[in-house]
Amino acid sequence: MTNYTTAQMLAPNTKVDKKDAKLVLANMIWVAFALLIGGTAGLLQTLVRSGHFELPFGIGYYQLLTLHGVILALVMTFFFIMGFQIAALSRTSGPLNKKERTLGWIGFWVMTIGTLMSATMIALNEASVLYTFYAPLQAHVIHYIGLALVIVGTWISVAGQMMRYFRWRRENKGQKTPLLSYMTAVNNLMWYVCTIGVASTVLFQFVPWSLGLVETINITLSRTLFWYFGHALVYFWLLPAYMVWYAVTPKILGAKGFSDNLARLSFVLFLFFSIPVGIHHQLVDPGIDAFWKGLQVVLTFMVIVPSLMTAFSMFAVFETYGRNKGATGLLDWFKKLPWTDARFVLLFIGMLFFIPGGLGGIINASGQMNQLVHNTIWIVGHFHITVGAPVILTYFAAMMFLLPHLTGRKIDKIANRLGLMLAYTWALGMGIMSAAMHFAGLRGAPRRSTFSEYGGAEVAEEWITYQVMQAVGGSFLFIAIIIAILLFLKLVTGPKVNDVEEFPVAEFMDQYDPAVKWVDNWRLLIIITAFLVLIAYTVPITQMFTENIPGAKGFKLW
Amino acid sequence: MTQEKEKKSVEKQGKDNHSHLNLKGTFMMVMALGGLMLLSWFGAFILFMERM
Repeated sequence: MTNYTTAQMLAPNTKVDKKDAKLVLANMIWVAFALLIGGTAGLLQTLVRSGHFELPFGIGYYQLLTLHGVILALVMTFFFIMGFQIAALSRTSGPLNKKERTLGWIGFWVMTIGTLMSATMIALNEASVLYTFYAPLQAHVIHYIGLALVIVGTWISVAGQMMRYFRWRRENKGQKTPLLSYMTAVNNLMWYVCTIGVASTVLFQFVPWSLGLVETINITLSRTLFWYFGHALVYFWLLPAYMVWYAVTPKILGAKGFSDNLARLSFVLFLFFSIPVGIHHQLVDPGIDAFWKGLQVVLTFMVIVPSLMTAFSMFAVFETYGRNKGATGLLDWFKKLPWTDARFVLLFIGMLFFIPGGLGGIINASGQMNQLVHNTIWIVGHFHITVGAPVILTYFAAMMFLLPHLTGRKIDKIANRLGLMLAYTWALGMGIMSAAMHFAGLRGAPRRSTFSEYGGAEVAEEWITYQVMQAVGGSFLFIAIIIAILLFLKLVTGPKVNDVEEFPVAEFMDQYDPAVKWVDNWRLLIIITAFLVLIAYTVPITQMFTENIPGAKGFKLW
Repeated sequence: MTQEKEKKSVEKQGKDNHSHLNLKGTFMMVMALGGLMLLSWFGAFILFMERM
């Protein structure tokens, strides 16, 4: 099968291969479905927590919360990422061959089976353990096996994607690989390394424990293995959004990207510093020495470097574009940006949300200061303005061009208007909801808890206004989800056109400069990644085996 | 077309040069981000110390 040259990759009429397009679309159907189900669950949760609504039909709050987390944080994101990455490879490296595509399909079906298994257990109220499935809460074994299958499905799909990337590289020795394909490969390598943690805890701890083969579980170990995976998961969500920011956004503007080499370097830094940092989610956990917590806090802060590199690159693209359009003052280039293009507005609003999202992240990870916000609803506010805004709004922007591109259509005026409505409604809803969560969290309101007056405690009375605000924000978000579904339907229906919507791929200012060699030296990348993981985790995990930590029996509290 | 030929054709058109860009606004924005980081962090730190 063909490998694209740089000229083909940059040509606006180069399309995702038709057979690959079907695979991508299959993944995207799951995204829309998961968004609707998960969003509905989210709305109901905010209504319950306002104190003015009770769930009908015996549905439990924690059952709903589990559904919301699993279907949005795991199912929706995974299907989007698999679909988007396959599209990016097919668009920039060239069509997948039969073997690579077959792996994509097998992965898709394994993920589907896993999702249905877990969803069934959640629906039967056998798995109300939330998406983090912390022990000693114990779900039905089918739930854990279902989740494991979802991960295995991604491994299979990712194997096909990696084969595509390395085939291009092998057949074009010494040449700079297409940027979007390179970024996909980095994200996938990170995924393989980090999912070892969650696969190990599910396979060796949760499955035997929930089957009754062993009586107790080592909770500290299970949480540590989960978060070894769990923080990199955040970057697995985020890096496809960064792919769009770096390699698609400049083309949407009609400008050039700032630096291809800088983009590659930032992805490599994300690879290095996304995994050996999971313990910053366990800063108040017992059983882990303060030194190792401190080390992982320092490593966490390293992620600020590629984050600011990204911010710099994006501002530089926007400013250069604005100045080429005639802007002269310090900041009036903002006015020149395409504020009527829904693709741009969606992802730009996402970028704006990422500013407070990043600031909050620094506070959360700051060692002892974590106690200020730990297990409060501040954290929920934080991840709703990271994954729930920058990530999802950029996914929406990508779907805006991807869906018509794959189905032979074009974004029309109505779709563009729907996209703008989606962006502003989402921003309004998420702004209200997440601000209320942050402020309530600073006043001590707990996360992961249904409505309660806490026996009339004075401090709990302060939270109620914020909880009503969360319901208001949640209602706007639900309206936004309805708009999103209408938008997706609009994008894949209607007459087909010859002038199909472009999958924008940007040229960079240093497009034809040689690539920095070591960032494409995969042996080196793997060695450094593994080295950092071993430094950060060897001693703490060894101690969890040697320090006679008592095991816990399973509990079913719902 | 090989990458080498493509490179030459681009060079003829005049290559982009990072050092010729006017990025005063970008500089200001990233400094503002740094300032916001410090402000928010110290805000939370003061709250933390008050509650000690």
